[in-house]
Parts: sequence; C-alpha cells; structure tokens
Amino acid sequence: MGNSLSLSEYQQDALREVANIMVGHATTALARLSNQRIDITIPSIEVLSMEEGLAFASGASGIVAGVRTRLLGRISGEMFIIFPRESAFSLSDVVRGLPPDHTRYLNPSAASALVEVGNVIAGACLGAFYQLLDISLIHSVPEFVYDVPNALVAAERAQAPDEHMVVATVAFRSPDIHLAGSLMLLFSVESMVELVDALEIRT
Amino acid sequence: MTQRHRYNPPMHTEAEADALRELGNVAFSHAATALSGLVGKRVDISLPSVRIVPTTEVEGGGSGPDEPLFIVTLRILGDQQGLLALIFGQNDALTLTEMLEGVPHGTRTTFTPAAEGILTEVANIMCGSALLAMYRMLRISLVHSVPMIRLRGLSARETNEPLGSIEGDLAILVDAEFSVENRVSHGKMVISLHDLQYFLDALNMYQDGGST
Repeated sequence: MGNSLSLSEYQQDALREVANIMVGHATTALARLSNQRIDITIPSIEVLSMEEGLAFASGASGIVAGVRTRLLGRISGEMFIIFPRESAFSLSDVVRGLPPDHTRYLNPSAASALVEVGNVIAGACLGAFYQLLDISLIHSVPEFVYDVPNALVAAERAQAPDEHMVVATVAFRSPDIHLAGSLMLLFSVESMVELVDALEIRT
Repeated sequence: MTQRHRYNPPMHTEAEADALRELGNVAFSHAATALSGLVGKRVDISLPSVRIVPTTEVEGGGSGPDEPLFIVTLRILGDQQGLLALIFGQNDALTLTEMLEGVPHGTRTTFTPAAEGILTEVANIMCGSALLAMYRMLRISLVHSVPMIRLRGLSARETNEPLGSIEGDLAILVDAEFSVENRVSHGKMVISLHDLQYFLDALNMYQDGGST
C-alpha cells in the first residue's frame, strides 16, 4: 500500500467541482463531434495511490482501449482515458453514428473514433483545471492504447510508494449506450503536491 | 437558414487589433513553454503579425514561395465551431523539424512519418495554447479535435484547393516565427470561426474591461 495522500473534505469538493466543469465542456464538444447528444457524468473522482488507482481502473475488465496523452505546462504528467474493450467498441460505434454492436474487433476506424473522444475529454479536463485552479496545461497529440492497465504505466512508477494519481469514472449515456471508462491523471510527486495546493487555495 | 455575417471596411478596429495581438502573445507564450518542455530545449515563438483578413487571402494557404505546403488542420468545437490550420512551406517545415530534433541544417531532405509527427505535435500545441488563451482572456470555452496533416502540392495550390471548411468572409491570420538556438522557421496559422463577430465582441469587451 502506498503512502497516503488524503484530501480534506474541502479539497475533495474542489476536485468534484473540476469534474462538473469538465462535464459541461465535454458534453458540448462531444455533441459537436458526433452530431448527437451523449450525456457525460463523472460519478466519482478521487486521489489514490498508484497501486490503488491502477486496481480501480482495471476493475474486472482485463484489456482496455483508450488514449494516452502527455500533459505539458507548469505541472507535467500524463493522462489516460480507458474503457473496457467492449465498451470502447460501443462508444466508437455511437460516435461514428453506426448501429449498436457494429464493431466486433479492433480496427483503425474504431481506434480513431476513440482517440477523438479521448481528445475531447482531455481538452475539457484541462479547460476545467484552468478555469477552477488557474493551472495552465496543454496536452500532446493523443495516442491510442490497447493493453491491460498495469502495462500502461512504467513499472518503476507503478510500484513507487509516493506516486499518486487522480482517478475518475466517466460515464456516457445515449439511447444506444450506457457505459463507463476511467480517467487517470498521473503527475510527478512535486506536481501532485502543487495540484493539491491549488485545490486548497480554491477552497 | 444560417445567416452569414457581413463586414464592411475597416475590417477591425485598432482596439480589436491590440487585443488580438495580446491574445496571440498570451497563446504563444504558453505554446513556447509547452514545446520547450516537450523537446527539452528552449523554443521561442514570436508573432510578426496577427490580423483579420478576408478568407480569400487564406483559402489557398497564403502567398509565398512556389513550394509544396504542409498543412495541419484541427476542428474547433465547443462554444464556437471552426477550423485552425497551421501552414508551413516545405523548406520551413523541414527546418522546424530539424530544429526541434536538434540535428544540423540539411540533415533532413525528405519528409518522414517522424517529421510529420513533429509538425502535428507543434500544431496541436499551438491550437491548445490559442484556445487556452481565448478562455483566459475572453471566456470562450473551446476544445479541438485530433490534428490531421496533409501535403498540398503545387498543382493543388494552382487550383486554389481550399484548406478546409473555412467559414464566413473573414479569418484570423497569424504569422509565426519559431526560434531554437539562432535557427528560425516561419509558419502561418489560420483560425476560422463560425461566428467571428461573437469573437470580436468578446475582444471588444475585453478591451473595455468587461472580461478578465
């Protein structure tokens, strides 16, 4: 078990406010991208140790599909938006306007649609960080990932006791889908301290 | 039916031009920081000019040397819809990728997928920075799509093949100069917004102290 970095109730409230703002940005942008309304909610967001966060994101799903992007700016890190394999296919179908269960195996078109969704979520998340916490971040071009969650993070990092991550559940709902993925924000120890300080200032 | 906005000269006021320059400087300060972090060396970006021009001036990728163009486009989504394009002549594109990779001039003679990746990343960062600055100064909330790169050959330039879905009569045209260790590369950035008047109104409000 990693060293604990527990947020105060007020800091946790500030993090939930970040999530609420992110939902607003992401819903609008995804509607533009997909030409349909897809409701997004973030039922949970918290700071966990790396070990706990990876266990949370893995769930019982095994292989996940999604995107990884680097975060550049005053603080730096990386972001993952990942979905259980079948959920990833369903989401890519909806975004492309295809009938449910159209995608049965990974193909470039499905991957490209997921990268677009991940890109929108990443942009919305960083917009919320700036809006609420005055932290300016830019993300790199997202890349598609398809693996088990533990393999996405460098081994030395996954086992480092002081490393923490922000983990959120991101749920998508439309007439054709009701699914959820995980958002993972990995920062260096110093950057995570700065983020937690910013949450404190917000409160 | 969508009504297109019509503008009469002068196309923008001095106050709008000042705010536009300030917006550009804020945006590219972010971009330079992010690019420097990405490549591990200091990258400077300056803006010789930022202005609002008739779309006819940018539809063909702008004037310049008779050479193929590398164009990276991103869709803008959110409070506004639009398009952002980063445009480099072939020589400037090759020079910029060499500069960012830290290899000597003339090392790269053809465009490889790795070089395309670098240009795409530059456009992604420039767009992200521009949108962040728009939120910071004007409170216009936007996100962008994944960038797409393409090579536009001379024949396409001759036929004035459009850059993409540029809307309205006017677009924002930015001349950008990238510097790394005394080497320089030039590019252009075009921003087309579905409702440019909304953007100009926000610029005016900012100049009047109506925004932060």
